[in-house]
Amino acid sequence: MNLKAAGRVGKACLAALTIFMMAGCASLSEDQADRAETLTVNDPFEPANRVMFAVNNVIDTVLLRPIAIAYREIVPGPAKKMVFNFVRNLSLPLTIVNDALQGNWDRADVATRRFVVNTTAGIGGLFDIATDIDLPHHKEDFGQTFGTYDIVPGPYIVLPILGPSSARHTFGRVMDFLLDPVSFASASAPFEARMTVRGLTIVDQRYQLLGPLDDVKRTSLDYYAALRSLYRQRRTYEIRNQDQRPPGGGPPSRPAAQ
Amino acid sequence: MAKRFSFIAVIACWAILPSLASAGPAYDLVNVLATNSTPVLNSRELSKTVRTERLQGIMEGLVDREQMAVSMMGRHWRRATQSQKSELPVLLEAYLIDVYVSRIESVSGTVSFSIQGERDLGKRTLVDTQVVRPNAPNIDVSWQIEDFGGKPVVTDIIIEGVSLVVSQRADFSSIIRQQGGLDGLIGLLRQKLASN
Repeated sequence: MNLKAAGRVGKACLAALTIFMMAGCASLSEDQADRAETLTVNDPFEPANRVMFAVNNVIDTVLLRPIAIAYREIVPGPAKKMVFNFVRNLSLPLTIVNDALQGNWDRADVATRRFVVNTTAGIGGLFDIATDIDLPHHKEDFGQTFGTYDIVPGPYIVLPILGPSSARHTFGRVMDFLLDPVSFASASAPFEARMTVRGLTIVDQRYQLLGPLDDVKRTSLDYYAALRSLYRQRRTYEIRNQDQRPPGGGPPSRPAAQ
Repeated sequence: MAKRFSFIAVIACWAILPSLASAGPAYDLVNVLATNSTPVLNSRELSKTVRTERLQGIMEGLVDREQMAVSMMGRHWRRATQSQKSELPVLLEAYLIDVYVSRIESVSGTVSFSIQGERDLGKRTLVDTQVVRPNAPNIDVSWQIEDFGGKPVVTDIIIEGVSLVVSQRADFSSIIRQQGGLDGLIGLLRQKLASN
């Protein structure tokens, strides 16, 4: 992609982002409690989102979930573990970039060492040696980086196939796609190899979500609203680097008293 | 998101608790909940009905049923009639126990549970704990404890950043809006409980 084209993509994304961010301000109720709830939920495109959610649900039911179940039943456990490790390892270069952009040098250092250890001793990331030597996994993306810059998430959006997102997260995903070091490094790799990795990533991610999503679907009264709330809360938790705080605020976690 | 998202451990997290020095009423409350729930949750022989009844007995007095209902209903609580206010806490408790007992049915292996610390939030105290599962990542679970008339009670449980109260409020609020009132939610809760 040349610079002119990248600039056009960037401008289009920014324009879309501005519209999305402003959309939530429209048509607020006079009732203060209603207003507060609307602002918290921040889903001004709910009717369209629900349609997309229903479409995604159909695709998931007829295609992705059956593939994930077949993967669970057919592929042996150790092989599934290797795929999981491999996919996670490939996410580390992007994590390192975002750790650096967040000024989080300690975490960037851990992610870098983890990537080196697992890519070499772990044979291309198939084995997770790093966790055993106290280099735990973590994941960062551009959406999280924007969150640490105090950019508001903007309205909730359900993306085709990808599912729950926000304006900020969507813009972050575009940046992830454009600037992921793995994409640059693998640009010259055969198309089939790149598609295989992409396919494995999708299957592994859907397999990891089999239990949790089935649970939420079975036990919630409104699957759409339940997932929206879970997405929002989880995203905040990820941006805070797994620092668990109560709703309404509070101090960060501290180590246990001795 | 994946498996961490799982609420499977919501009740399982009450399982095995190592002995800890008492650090206050909030600590003690979590300790009591865990100690009393452990045999119920670890026993695979119990039927779902028996397990549910026993958990309800343990929760009695330790979890503020009405306060949870108020938090989960949010602004809708103010508009509720007296009969709705009496029925909702009971229905909600039954619904939550039913949901989470179903989820632990699929948990295999023993989980261990440790208290990491507690945070004073003014009116509230948060007890941070961690659930350690065999061959799976640890799960952060925090218990929000509040004092009502000198008695500490659990008013929320936060698992990996996801608050039980906030999640349920979002779910219920959407139903109330779609069904045009609390009666719609009550009807749906009754239906869900009857079908399980």
